Amino acid sequence: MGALIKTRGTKLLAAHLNEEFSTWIAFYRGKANYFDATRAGYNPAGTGGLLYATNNIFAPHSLRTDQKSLLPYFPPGTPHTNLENRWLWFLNTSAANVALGSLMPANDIAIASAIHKALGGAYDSITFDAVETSGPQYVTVSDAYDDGTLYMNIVLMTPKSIPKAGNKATGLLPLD
Amino acid sequence: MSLLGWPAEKKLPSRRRQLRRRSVALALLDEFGRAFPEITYDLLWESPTINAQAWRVGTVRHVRVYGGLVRHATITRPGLALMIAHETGHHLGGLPRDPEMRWMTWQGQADYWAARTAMPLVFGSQAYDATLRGARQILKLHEDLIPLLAEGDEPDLSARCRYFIFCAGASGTEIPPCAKAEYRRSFNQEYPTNNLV
Repeated sequence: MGALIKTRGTKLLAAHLNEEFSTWIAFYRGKANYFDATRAGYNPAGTGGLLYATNNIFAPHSLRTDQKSLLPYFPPGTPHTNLENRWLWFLNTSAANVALGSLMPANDIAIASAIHKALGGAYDSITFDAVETSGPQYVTVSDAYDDGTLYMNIVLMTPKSIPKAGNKATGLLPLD
Repeated sequence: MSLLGWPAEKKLPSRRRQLRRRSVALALLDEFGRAFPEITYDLLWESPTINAQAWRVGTVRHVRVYGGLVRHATITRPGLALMIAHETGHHLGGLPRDPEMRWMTWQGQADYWAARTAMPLVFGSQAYDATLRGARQILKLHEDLIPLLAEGDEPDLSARCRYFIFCAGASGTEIPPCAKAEYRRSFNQEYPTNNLV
């Protein structure tokens, strides 16, 4: 994500996923079934979708003691506990979480399906990005080429849930 | 809770100031849109986020400015222009790219390109003064925002170094040594000395 204020924590998460699905994409090709939203047992509601994959894919290349390779490694003394907790909360698509702005089940499926397609296709890597938007949360998936390599670009468009977007009650003027 | 965890405004300015700021932002986005027609610019006015963002969807290149940034007391027209130029630089700023996000120009180079290339295209003979004023505003904004960021979530390029980069770009001198040092520190690799990265 290119941003004016680009902070280490949020960047770390995106960078980690981008690294996993580029350098280690061959490993994930062997785990493609975790992202197959059409398979029996894939249940995006609550903890059954991407959160399940996050908690159950273990890789020898992970530097984490629990070897959960879809979660970033934090060197000792790095204060990023909240980042991981926030991410796990976000991936939990329970109705209670969705009401507060977490990932919606339909978008869990959209992301998982895109990953599944890329892992089974001729893609060299998958890149992830997140963009704040004003409307409902949605996912865009597109192909991109850089330096002769084909990669899949998955962008999560998600509203900032708290504080609420402006309205008359808050004194915020609408955009024309 | 915000996925991105970016700083957000705590209170709104007066209605009159909001109207003025919105008008300035929309005019600037229009100017940049004419200067760089390959970029899709927009303003997310209702957002309290104090930030701006560049991203791609396929081959479509986007720059979005958030309302919290436009309404921030520290930022006026030159600061906002330099920020839009910086986001444009993520798309068009050339090498080096961000090693962790290969499609985009690295943060420091986006700053340098903004000052050296984009601001003169939009501001003409006024570019030097506008860039330095904008750079001072961005330095002040960083100082205002650091206390609002989560622990360990500080910006990945120091505010002071960014100021020096903007000044170097405006003056047409080489990117300063601090940029190369911070690149090495951030990515644990040498700053590329040629255009092959």
